[in-house]
Amino acid sequence: MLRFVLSRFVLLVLGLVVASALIFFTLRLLTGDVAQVIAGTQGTAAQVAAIRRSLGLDRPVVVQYGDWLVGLLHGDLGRSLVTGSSVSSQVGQKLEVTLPLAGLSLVFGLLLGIPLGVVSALRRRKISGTAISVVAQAFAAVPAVWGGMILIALFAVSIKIFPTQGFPSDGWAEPGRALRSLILPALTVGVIEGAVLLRFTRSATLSALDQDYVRTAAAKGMTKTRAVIRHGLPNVLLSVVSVLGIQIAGLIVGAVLVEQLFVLPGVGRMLVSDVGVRDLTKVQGELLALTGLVLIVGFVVDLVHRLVDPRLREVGE
Amino acid sequence: MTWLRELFRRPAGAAASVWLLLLVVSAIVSSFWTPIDPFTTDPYHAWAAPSPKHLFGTDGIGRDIFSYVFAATRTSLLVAVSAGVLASLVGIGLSAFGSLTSRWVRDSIAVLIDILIAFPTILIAMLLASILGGSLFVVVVATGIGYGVNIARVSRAEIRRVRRTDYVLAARASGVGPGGILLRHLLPNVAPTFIVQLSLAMATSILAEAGLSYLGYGASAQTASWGRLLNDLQNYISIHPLSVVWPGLAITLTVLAFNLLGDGLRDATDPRLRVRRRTR
Repeated sequence: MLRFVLSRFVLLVLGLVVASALIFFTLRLLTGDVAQVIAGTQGTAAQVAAIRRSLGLDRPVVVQYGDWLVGLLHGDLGRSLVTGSSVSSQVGQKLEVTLPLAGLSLVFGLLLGIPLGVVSALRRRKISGTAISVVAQAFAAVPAVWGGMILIALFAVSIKIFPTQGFPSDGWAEPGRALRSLILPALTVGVIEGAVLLRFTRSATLSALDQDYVRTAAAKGMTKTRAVIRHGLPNVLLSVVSVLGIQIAGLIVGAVLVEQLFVLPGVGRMLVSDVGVRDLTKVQGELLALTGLVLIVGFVVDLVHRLVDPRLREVGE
Repeated sequence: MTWLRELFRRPAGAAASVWLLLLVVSAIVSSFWTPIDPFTTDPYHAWAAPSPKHLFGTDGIGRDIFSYVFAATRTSLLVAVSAGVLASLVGIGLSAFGSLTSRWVRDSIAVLIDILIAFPTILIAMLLASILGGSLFVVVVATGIGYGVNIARVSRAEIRRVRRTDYVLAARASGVGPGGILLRHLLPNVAPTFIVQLSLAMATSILAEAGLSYLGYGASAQTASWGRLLNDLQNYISIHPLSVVWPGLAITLTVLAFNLLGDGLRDATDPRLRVRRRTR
């Protein structure tokens, strides 16, 4: 187990380094001259040179990348090119919205996807089972933004329980109020991701139905439904865990889009506006935070999967 | 063309093919003719309800929503096809390169692919857009790379499976070089898996285009795009909810069609499934 954790950890660190290098060098290679971008078209040569010196852009690119990485280890992602404020503190503050949003979406997705997936597999020959599967197929194709708009239309017109826009300006000072403004956006992403999870769960349950142990349990007098829930469900859950790592990327993308629609002050919304004003240090920090999140959650999911799946354990453990 | 017949035998596969064919026709027709020019504004007839003249009604500046949605099929299909082609080139290129070179290079490519998969397509697009500005070109490049590594991963596993088979061993024993094996045995056997991935890549690119155009980093204002229309309409959802239905429905049905086409092609090209059904 320790060897597995170590090797996965090395892969995680490698992933973070490669991701940071890709982000950094792509931005540098494509921009040409950051100082020129900041100075704008009206900037004189002297202004450009001064900006270049003050940002340390006159040194080799590799040294700049090294500096960024060292800063990163100290939790310092540099300063915004537009406002001059610290990138890491802003990203940290915005993560207070994005992380709960992604987490809540995942909870909704699991709560919808797993039970409905099992039910639709058990009732595969009945209309209800087929209907669930068809609806899930359709929901998985819904663009997050449109799904959110439909929820807004429903909740703004008829049922006014949840706010359809914004986030309390004092953040999580009143947890209930903050949580309520995350419900609709999280439901949007959660239903779409849940539809994808439902399809995984359904096919995993269908293959569990074919297994010998389910047939044996059924032969000994258990109903097929009980046999699947008792003996098949652990296997189904394990295969769902193994695809969760890939699903996280979808959650993050969904969060970026619904933050825009529901006007939530998260990392995604900040990224969208920073891309517009070409605040490159912030963009690289935000992109690293989001891809880092995907990599780290993938790492954790792998560990959990390894821990709970007895089949993956090494002999003698 | 047995697989085509197999595809049409399934209701979902047939429906998906018909819808996509309809889109191709719309894309061609709308290049020459739309009922009303999609960009002509008519403030006196803003927010008109659906009628024979305006099938889907009009938006806040009086543009005909049907004509706009109709014209935007071309944008979506263009993005889907170019992203699909680019993703295939990236995917096949990476996995073929990996299978031809030494083990060390192959393993490094594999690790690189595993890392790149964690990069969501939309984030790659935002990375490029922060410098190049948003455009359909950026959407295509981002999906091409983002989904290309997915294709590379899936076809790598498939290539590894085929490589272990006896007929590849036999070919190698009779003196066929690595390039010959790749062309004659590996690629043809990977093709069915690859075609399925291609249609999923197109589904992804439609969603990415819609999302990025919605955010303002995809299609330009002069280009009709379903995602852009969603952005134009978003402030009026609670007052004119019906107008939002059309562009969203177009995106959903198209993504669904590509997904179903992928599923259908997977079943249709799997000879094992075909045999089982005949004997049943």
